[in-house]
Amino acid sequence: MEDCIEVSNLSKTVRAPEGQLMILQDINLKVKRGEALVISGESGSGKTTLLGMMAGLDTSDQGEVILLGQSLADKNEEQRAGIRNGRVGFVFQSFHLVTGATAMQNVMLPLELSGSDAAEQRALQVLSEVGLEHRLHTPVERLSGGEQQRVAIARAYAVNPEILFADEPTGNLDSKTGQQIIDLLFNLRDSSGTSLVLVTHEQRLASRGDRQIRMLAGRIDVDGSSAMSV
Amino acid sequence: MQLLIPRLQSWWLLWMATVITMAIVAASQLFTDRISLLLDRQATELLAADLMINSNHALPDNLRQQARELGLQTAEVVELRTAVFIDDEPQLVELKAVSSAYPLRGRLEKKKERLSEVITSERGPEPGEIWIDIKLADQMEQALEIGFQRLSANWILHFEPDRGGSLFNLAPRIMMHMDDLAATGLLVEGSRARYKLLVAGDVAAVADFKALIEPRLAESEKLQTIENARPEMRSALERTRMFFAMSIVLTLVIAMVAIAITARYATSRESTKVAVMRSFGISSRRLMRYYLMQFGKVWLLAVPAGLLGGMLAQFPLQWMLGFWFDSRLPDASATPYLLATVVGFVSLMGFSLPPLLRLIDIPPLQVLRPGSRRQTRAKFLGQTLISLLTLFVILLLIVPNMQLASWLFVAILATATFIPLVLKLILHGLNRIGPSRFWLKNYVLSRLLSQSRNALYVMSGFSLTLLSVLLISQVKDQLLMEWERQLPLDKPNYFLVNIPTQDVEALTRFLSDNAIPASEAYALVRARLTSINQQPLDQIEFDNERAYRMANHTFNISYTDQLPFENEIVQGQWLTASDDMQQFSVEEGLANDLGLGLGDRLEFDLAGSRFSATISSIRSVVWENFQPNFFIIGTREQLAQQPQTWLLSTYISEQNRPLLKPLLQLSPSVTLLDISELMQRVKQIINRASQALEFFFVFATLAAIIVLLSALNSANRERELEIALLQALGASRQHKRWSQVFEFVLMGLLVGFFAALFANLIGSVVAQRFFDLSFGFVPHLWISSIVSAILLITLVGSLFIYRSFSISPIRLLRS
Repeated sequence: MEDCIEVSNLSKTVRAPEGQLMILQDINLKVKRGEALVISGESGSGKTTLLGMMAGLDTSDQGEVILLGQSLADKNEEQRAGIRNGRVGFVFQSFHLVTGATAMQNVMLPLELSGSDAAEQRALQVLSEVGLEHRLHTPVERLSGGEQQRVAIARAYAVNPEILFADEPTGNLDSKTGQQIIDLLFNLRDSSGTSLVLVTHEQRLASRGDRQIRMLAGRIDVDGSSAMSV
Repeated sequence: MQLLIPRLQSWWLLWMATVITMAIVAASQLFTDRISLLLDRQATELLAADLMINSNHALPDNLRQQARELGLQTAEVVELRTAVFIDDEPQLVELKAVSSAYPLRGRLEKKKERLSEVITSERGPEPGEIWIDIKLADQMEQALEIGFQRLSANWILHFEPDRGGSLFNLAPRIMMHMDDLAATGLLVEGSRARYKLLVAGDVAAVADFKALIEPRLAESEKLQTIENARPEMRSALERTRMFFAMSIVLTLVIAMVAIAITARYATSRESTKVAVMRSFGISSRRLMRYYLMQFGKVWLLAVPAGLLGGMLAQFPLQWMLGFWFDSRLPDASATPYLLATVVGFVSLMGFSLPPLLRLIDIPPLQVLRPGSRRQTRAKFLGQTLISLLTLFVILLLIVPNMQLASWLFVAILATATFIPLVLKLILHGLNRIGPSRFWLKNYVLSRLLSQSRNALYVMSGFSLTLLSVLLISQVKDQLLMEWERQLPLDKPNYFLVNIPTQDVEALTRFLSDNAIPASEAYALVRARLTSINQQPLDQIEFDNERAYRMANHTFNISYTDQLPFENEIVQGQWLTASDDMQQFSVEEGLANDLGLGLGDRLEFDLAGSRFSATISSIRSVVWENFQPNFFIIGTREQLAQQPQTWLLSTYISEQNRPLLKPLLQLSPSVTLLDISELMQRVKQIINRASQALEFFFVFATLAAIIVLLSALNSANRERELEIALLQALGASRQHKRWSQVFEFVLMGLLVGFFAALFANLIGSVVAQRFFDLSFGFVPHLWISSIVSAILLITLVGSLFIYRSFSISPIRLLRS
């Protein structure tokens, strides 16, 4: 199967009060099309940084990331945004919805930014898929946490992304709602065939992916199939 | 030192807003204090001193002595009406002898010939010199016999600052040095001379002197201050002061908006900290104490910077005004600094308290569920009341006029309530119209409607700010223009007074034959007020010195069937409305001073014969129009038989000046009074007021930019996250830029619209209510408001958020 993300010799250093701190060190990994990769680890192990760099939200000091067949190494922010546009979806821990706008409008946003003419129909469809057909025109700040994360998932899936990055999507939710959100994410992945890169600190979620990477102090500690890790 | 640093996030913004408020108060108070002193001083030029004691006998030496002991300057003047002989012809003149120090305030102007260049002089005639009135200019070469002295005139007296009294009863002036007066032999026992002691110097010393001598003055010794200035000047000065008061308040409103916005921002950033502390069981009382202490620290740190800022603002002011006013600004008192400190404290605490109360009311649950708080209506009302009280207290501290303070309070309150409500309605309305696409219009509207952005609050604040700037600049221009319009170039520049009844027709015919515009001729009956409602004048207690002086001066009463030009009846009915022959129409200001109302009966004495009538109307008079204006007008039936002279006003252009001589030859006893100098001085006050107000405009604009910056800063974190989100969703640089530019343009459009609407409305009300001026729809005010709001918000906003475009979307993962 073709790789949609290829990370080679990736390192990242940040400045800390105690001097230069290496938060990612010599990372090598590949994500295949349609694969569900779960990145887990303790807080501060570098998992969110790795996700950001794989998605082109951040740049590396060393090494290379190839996203959807294009190297991010020599691309500026504008060019990286161009690669993501319409091909990559995000789900964040803090939802990051456009407050003051309705659920529909939030889902229509990435569609319209990518020049879609049928944004409204597609938003309606995907919101129905996440079970929010009765909350279409509700301003998002009036929705519950679980509902807000559903809108965020609908927004991410609306553009039919090739890859979906999810950063701690259950971090702000209770365990029951969190479980529902994870189910929704994987069901949508199964039906759409989208690659999924999910960052979580919850070890129990690791088994849901096709493959799990466990980070420890900026390095990949374990890289294997979920069945292996279990 | 570390202990002094407030433990508040973004406290420096709040500190900056407080510093600006204090600097504005200190600078504007120093400014008005000085302008006020300067205007007073200009007005005191009408006395040629800061204070004058006037008596019908020589003033005792101890008065002079006391003035000098207090470090004050003194000068002496003796005035008497006498006849001089010019070419053996007697001529009634007002002789004025002045000491070497005269004048203490203002300058004299003299010239060699009628049409030659005017020379300014700091001092009066030297011993042996004679300066004569322009009316006697033809006698320049001839010898004048003044008492036993035979002298010839050296200069024509073009202007003397303290030419007091009514405009209409002045005989030609002759001025000489005091040392020459004795030799004339005119000052003998029983001479009807006025003795004046002029005093000038430091404001506090003059006040001390006044307080010291006032109780000791004999009944015949009258103290005269600026309060007795001519009505034309008084009106101009009062309007100028009103303009200043309004400008200060409006500038302050801007600064208070800045404090309110930054306080709200600073407290909102503390919410997580407070929620955590509340969950740890810290009481709200303890939290309140903690935060009040932090705000107290902000104030303490703001005091030196704010006062320094206010003080430094004086230097450009000194430079600018020194240049404009051609005189050194008087020293200001310490009051402005004290007031700035108090206003800084009241506004910081008053406007911070409502968001602070909201902050410490955060339930501990907020730690787990952000946004889980609901505020009760009672608490909301309580917090609003604190803000309103703060605003009112500040207005009372700053505005000397209670009525104006209350009116401003209502206006600000109505505007501050109305703007956000209507803004919200408009934004919702815009959201509903047009295509259902979200990008770009509805996206931007959702940003402006988002509660977390406080955009409505910020836009309302900025509308209020711009409204204040507009009121100071545009409305000021309009009001000043309207004011100046009342003084067009072809207004009368001469009064012809002392016209005998038999010459009125000949003179008016001469003027009309030569196409010289002139007013109607008015009769003048000179009489003294003897009683009000049958109570003799000397038994009536008046509220102030001015009322006393007004009641005791000789009135020039006129009669006419037509209500004079630019007079308006404010109470009662004009004389012709009734057949009653015994009626008076009284000028509004005089009626207020003497406490007169409709139905009151006034009795006058004219050379022993008495006549009385009741007041049937109160009139407003535009004093600055330089038309013949009268405090009292009676009926023809009652006054036509009384001894009288006539007066009329006329505009004699430069080219018609040669006609003056044949005109005067028609009626040799007529006195020609040149009032263009007085008009010029009123115009000068208007111009100076206008220039001084420009300074407020600069202040207000600077404060407005600070408001805009603090508003942008308060929403900056949200804005950065929004840009990062768009970036993560794959938006191009153009998308991001357009979203921001469109938002700023829309904000500018709405802010500009509301500011213009309210500036126009408030301007009209203020113009009519406080300045007696009209102010209609002003199209260029709307255009400049909308264009400037769009440009300012878009330019400053774009510059401010420029760096946000390069912020990495990784922040979304870290937030």
